[in-house]
Amino acid sequence: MSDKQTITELLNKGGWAYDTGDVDFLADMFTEDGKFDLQIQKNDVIKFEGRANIRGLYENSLKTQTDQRRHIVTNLFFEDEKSDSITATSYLLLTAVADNKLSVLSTGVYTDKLVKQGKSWRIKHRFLYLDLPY
Amino acid sequence: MLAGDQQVVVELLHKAGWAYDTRNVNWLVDLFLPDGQFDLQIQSGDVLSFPGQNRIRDLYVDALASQNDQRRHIITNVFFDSVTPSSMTARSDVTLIAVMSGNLNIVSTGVYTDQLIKYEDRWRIKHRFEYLDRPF
Repeated sequence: MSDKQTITELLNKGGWAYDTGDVDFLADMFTEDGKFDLQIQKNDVIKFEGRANIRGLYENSLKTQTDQRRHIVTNLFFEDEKSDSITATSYLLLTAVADNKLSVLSTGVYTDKLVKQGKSWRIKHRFLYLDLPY
Repeated sequence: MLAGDQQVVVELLHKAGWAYDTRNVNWLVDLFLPDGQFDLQIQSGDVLSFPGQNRIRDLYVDALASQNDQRRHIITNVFFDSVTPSSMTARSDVTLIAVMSGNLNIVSTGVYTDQLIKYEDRWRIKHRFEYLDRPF
């Protein structure tokens, strides 16, 4: 499998992992010193540094949500491709189902800087810009 | 798994959605060959034709000038017909979303049919036909 195919599956599975509450997978997507920066509209960037803090972000978010989320990841393309690093940009379409009603909550853009550690690709830095709160 | 050229074209089509949404007109125009053409049909209306990079640029500039919301061109369902080493046809779906003043609307859905040519070692669009299910 090519590196791009591997990363495509990683990012796709990241959406599935959130929607199934698989925090272990989500945290393991990041390097130990990975960073997750989140900006909602023009508000200040909220920063999460290190795998443990990123895990906390996911755990806390999931606790507040009783609906069924779907993180639909699309429009993936790559830049700055090297043998051990790459930048991946993708879109997020975030939906939620609750009480038999489906809502489109937000759209957004992921910009992920990934590095290859051994045979695994992990996110060194994720920036998520959301068009609306989630 | 996609062959190398198809992977390149998938990324181009994905990036084109992002390029519109970030108002990168130069990138969008450069996606077309100098004699490329963009045909647009909305529902059962007449097909509007934009031949050549200058007309295509005008289309994008005028459309963007009329929009002050945040558009998201969500590209899915890419598949290929008629693949040769120097040409291919790619079809893809677009779900067009607009966000403004805290509201998100699904503006339209549609289908792109793109005829691409490998020109000077780059894949570029020779002809784009966009069919939209609703006005944008």
